[in-house]
Amino acid sequence: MNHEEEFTEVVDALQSRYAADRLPRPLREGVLRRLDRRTVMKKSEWIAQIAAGALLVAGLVLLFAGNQAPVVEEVAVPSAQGSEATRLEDLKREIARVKEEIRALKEELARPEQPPPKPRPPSSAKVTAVAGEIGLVIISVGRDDGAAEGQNYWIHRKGSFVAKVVIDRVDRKWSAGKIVYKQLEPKIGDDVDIEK
Amino acid sequence: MEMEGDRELVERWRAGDRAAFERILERHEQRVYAACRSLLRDREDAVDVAQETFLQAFLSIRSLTDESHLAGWLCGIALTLSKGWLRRTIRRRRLWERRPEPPREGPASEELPLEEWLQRLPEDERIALGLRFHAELGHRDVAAAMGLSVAAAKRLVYQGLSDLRTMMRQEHLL
Repeated sequence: MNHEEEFTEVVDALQSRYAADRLPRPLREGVLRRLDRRTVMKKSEWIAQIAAGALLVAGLVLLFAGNQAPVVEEVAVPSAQGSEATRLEDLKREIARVKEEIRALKEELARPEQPPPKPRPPSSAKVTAVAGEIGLVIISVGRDDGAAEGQNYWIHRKGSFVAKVVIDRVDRKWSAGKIVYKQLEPKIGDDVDIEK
Repeated sequence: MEMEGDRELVERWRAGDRAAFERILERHEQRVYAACRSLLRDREDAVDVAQETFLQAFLSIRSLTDESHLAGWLCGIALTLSKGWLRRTIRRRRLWERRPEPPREGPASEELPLEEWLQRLPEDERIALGLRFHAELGHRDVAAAMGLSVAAAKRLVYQGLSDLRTMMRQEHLL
């Protein structure tokens, strides 16, 4: 049973409305870019896991050697405790070295994934809304103007510094920023400049 | 050449063929966008969530049990992500609505009444209509996307159409 036949005019109106709402641009590029970024993250996690495994094995070997050796050392060397302390120090150094390698590898993997720099937003941006109680301001530059999450902006009024904000949400035509420092209360109409 | 079906593409995708995933992406992107739009009023938000939908789909292809309902499965992910998006951005949206100038790009003025009527419908009816007539899904896929039985999905579509017709009659458009 198809009830929709009873509603031909409504369905026509709906279809006409929906036909005008097409996907503004293909998704392919954005999806593949996000996917590649996620894949690189997976790789770095994988490398970190291997490194952590190697570290664990090294630690176990050292501990095992440490447990075996004292049979002789306790008899032959009176300062066995000192020897244990040395091994512990060696182990700590090894851990620090592997951690450093993991960090360097992560940095190396993350580097080519950084997006190309976007155009600097114009300096004529203004504050268009303020919610002081939650420390948020809306400014009149958006993704179309090159604004991006994490950017720092200065708010100023007649040459005087007002506040510094960090952008945490970007739409096409506007951005929302969190106030991280302020000398005065931001107001609608204040000038906004990107941090140089 | 015969067009490759979703089932074959999913099999290739599962075997690690990224080209098959890209083919699916091209084939279903409009549907997924439409599913997002049934909940999100901002087109750019819908594009962002549609992209995230395909990313999630790529990462969780193992959870697709019936390849013949790929479209419903994708739209189900899109609805879940859209609801999450709404929850996360509700505070921002409230703030945004306080702006002195309304910058939102709305539909053409002659389309406004229908848009407003759609917004007045209960959320599940609006989603069902969006999936049925915007994403152009069959009733079984609408049901799969919304986690309902086919009968319940049909009922929602029917109720949504009926409510819209009532509103149009009240405005003497029918």
